[in-house]
Amino acid sequence: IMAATKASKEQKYDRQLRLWGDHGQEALENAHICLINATATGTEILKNLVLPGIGAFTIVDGHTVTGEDVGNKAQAATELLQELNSDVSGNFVEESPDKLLDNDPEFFHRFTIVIGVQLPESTCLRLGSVLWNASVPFLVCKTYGLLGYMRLVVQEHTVIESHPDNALEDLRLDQPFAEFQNHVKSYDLDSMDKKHNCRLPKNYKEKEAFRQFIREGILKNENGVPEDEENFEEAIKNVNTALNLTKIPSTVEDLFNSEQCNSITSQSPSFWVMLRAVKEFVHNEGNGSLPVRGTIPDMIADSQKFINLQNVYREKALQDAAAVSKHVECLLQSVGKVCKNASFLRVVRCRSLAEEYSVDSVNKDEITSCMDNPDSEMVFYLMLRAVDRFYQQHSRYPGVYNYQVEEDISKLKLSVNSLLQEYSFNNFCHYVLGSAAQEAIKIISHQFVPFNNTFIYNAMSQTSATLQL
Amino acid sequence: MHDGAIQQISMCCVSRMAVDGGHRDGGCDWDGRWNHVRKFLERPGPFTHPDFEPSTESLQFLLETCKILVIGAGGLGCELLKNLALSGFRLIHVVDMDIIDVSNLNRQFLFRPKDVGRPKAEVAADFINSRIPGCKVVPHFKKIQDLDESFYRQFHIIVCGLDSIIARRWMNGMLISLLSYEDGVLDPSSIIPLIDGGVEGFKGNTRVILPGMTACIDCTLELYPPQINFPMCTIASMPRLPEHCIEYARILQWPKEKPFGDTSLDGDNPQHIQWVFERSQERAAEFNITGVTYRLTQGVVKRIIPAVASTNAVIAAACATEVFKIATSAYIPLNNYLVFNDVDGLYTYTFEAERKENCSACSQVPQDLQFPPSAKLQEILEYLTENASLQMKSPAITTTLEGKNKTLYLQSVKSIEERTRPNLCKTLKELGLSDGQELAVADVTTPQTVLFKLNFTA
Repeated sequence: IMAATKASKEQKYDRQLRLWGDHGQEALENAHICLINATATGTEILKNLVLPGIGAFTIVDGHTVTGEDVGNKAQAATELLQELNSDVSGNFVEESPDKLLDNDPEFFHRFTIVIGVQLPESTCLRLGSVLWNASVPFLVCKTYGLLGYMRLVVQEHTVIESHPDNALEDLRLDQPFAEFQNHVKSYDLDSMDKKHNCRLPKNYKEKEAFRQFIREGILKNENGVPEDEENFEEAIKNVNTALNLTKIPSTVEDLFNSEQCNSITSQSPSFWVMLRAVKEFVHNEGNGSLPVRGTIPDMIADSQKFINLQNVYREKALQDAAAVSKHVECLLQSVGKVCKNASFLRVVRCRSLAEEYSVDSVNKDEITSCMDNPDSEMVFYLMLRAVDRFYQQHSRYPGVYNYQVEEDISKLKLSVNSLLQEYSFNNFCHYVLGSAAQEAIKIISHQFVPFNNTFIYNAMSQTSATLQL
Repeated sequence: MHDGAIQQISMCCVSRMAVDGGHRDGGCDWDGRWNHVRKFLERPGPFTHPDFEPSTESLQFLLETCKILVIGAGGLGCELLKNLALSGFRLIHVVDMDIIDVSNLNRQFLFRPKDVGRPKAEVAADFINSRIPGCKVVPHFKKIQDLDESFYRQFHIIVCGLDSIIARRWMNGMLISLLSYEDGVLDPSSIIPLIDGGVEGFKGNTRVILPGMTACIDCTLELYPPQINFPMCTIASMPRLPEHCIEYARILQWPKEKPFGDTSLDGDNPQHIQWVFERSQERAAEFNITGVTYRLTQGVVKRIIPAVASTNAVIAAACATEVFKIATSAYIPLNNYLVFNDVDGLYTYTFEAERKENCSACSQVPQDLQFPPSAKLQEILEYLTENASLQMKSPAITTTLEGKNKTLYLQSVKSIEERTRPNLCKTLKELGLSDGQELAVADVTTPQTVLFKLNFTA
């Protein structure tokens, strides 16, 4: 039965396994997600997490049903969601988050991530602080009319497998390692670096000269006309992308210089331990360079020659990884991944909600500079904050009932003004939900890079912005 | 195309809707059911369409009259049906030629394990109809090509969640063929807006097409680069990647060895995939190539595109929002192409795709074919398939010679293919074609023939 379940899971999740692999899926299946408020928004987010197979979810909701929310009470929601995937276990707690925090402050510590939907500002701040101290990632989501808002609150989130699009290859043509040089010598070609002191062609003129150099290598037939040599043509086409300088990306340099990397203790998370080991490698065996990635792009060549070349890089990569692992006491698999992804390691750090909201640390610069552009989504951020203010004052959201609309418009304006005054600004005005689920998956799987830290989506104009607040 | 024009067209769509009758279907709207939708339709706001008049009539249109067609009941289709139904649309048709597979269940949430093997359109319709009171989804377990003009004409808006560029182009061509012109001027009421959504892994896009007015699918064909297939010589004699080994087994060994008799390779048959997998492993071992797995084999044979629930949810939401905007004229629609990517953070980009002056689908201008009279018909065939703006699959070329219709070359019917094959080696002059001759080309990428004009070069 175990084998049958595993096989059917592989079939069911096939399309997503091709994105985050079996280990990513395992992380998902070990996750327990908390959703606060089973509104249409909340259950939609959870649906997009249940379908890919999270381990378990718990819905926290103290509200009752209204006409709009078709049966979305905590229990009904739980049942509907469980129907979507029998591999997932669901629970619900019919209690408001504030009450839970009063009675059982550690309730939320057990979760892999907490997703709070349509939470009032005060609850966000309180819960945010608890989760911050417990190192539990917190994703705040709000939808308001055709606006969507997400805020990620996590102190530090490390990513080894960021899966970058369009990464440059790691061919080391400018610093050929010994084994590669020996391999090249086995070919009957002149060494490329004699003329330019081992320097790569830098500008267009030099690259053109280099291409010409390659062209001259093409065999000519009896009439002096160059043969149709595909591999030379391919080389010429790839001059720009293949001849890139081997250097450590600034994002990785910053990580090497960070405190977590330099003060490793027995409490350090494995990410920092491994990163430190990579840094040690760079300063020793690596001679200033990261471990070799070990992959090469496909290129026109006969099978034997290609495989041999590929093996030269692969073996060097294994060698480098072994050197790194000497600096480390971790699982060999993890080290291999860190080496292969060394250029693409990322760490995401978000400011806490307290920092965002507090008058002393509000990100005035970001807000003012965005407001210079009349089309900026920043205006919606301020509006949403004002709406929260309104709720704080009047215990309801503006414009719920038709008869309130006129009055609420002026009340809301007051809220906007009070917010702007507090922050002393003198100048002055179903989508997010799919995204929310994917951001949660990124957090859980530690693959792909999450947004940092505020995302606003405007369905009216179909535009969006990511702000760091 | 500026906002004023879009505004005009949306108003025309609405007035068309107003003219159509509708039947009342009361009784299933409990108190407050449509409050969330009413707030958009019964109140003005700073972001509403300049011509929008808040009223109770828009909601009525939505609920009683507006007819939407959803193409595809897969990843995007399921999300679209849900979104549309929850927004108040009640007259919805859905077309899908597929049946449900286990691998659909990670995102096509209207389906359950017990539904595997049943037609997607039917199960989706059943689900929505039974869970959302008042909503009437009509399923069509068919290919889009099996339905005709009179079918498509009945809809106010068509929204696509397809997984094939050929199908998109066909749909695009169908709506263009429904356009009517009076004295060369396009009649706006013959326009059926087309909202097209596409997804691939963590990337997706949504676009709004007003056939005859804004960029159509073929206007921006270069945005879809042609699928790269491995060169035959690599597959046959110089494999380097595990994929080359798999293609070897699929393309060369299967037809030769016929392991299951005369049946063609079925990517959904695990036995077939297993056979290809084993042959690929043998081939890989010969060349010391690593990396052949069952998962990779299946991926290559079926040309699998990875997919998750979240991307489908995002793109379907964007599409449904546009359907809502156009149906109600409450907001200015997307103008006209949105791109989404959540690999690194969240990225969206909106731009206005431009119409191509000589688009082979929507420009009504006969396409130019420049060839010398000594060129062989084969060259024209290659041009039609390889040119980035045409990308035809198996074009059938006919013309009129001496007052009679003559087929120059046609691939899809074996007997005709055999009969016309010798024409490929003949020159245009030998075939009796003259300068300025019109050639009519039919292809799976379009429901109508495309007219080409032969222009002899020196």
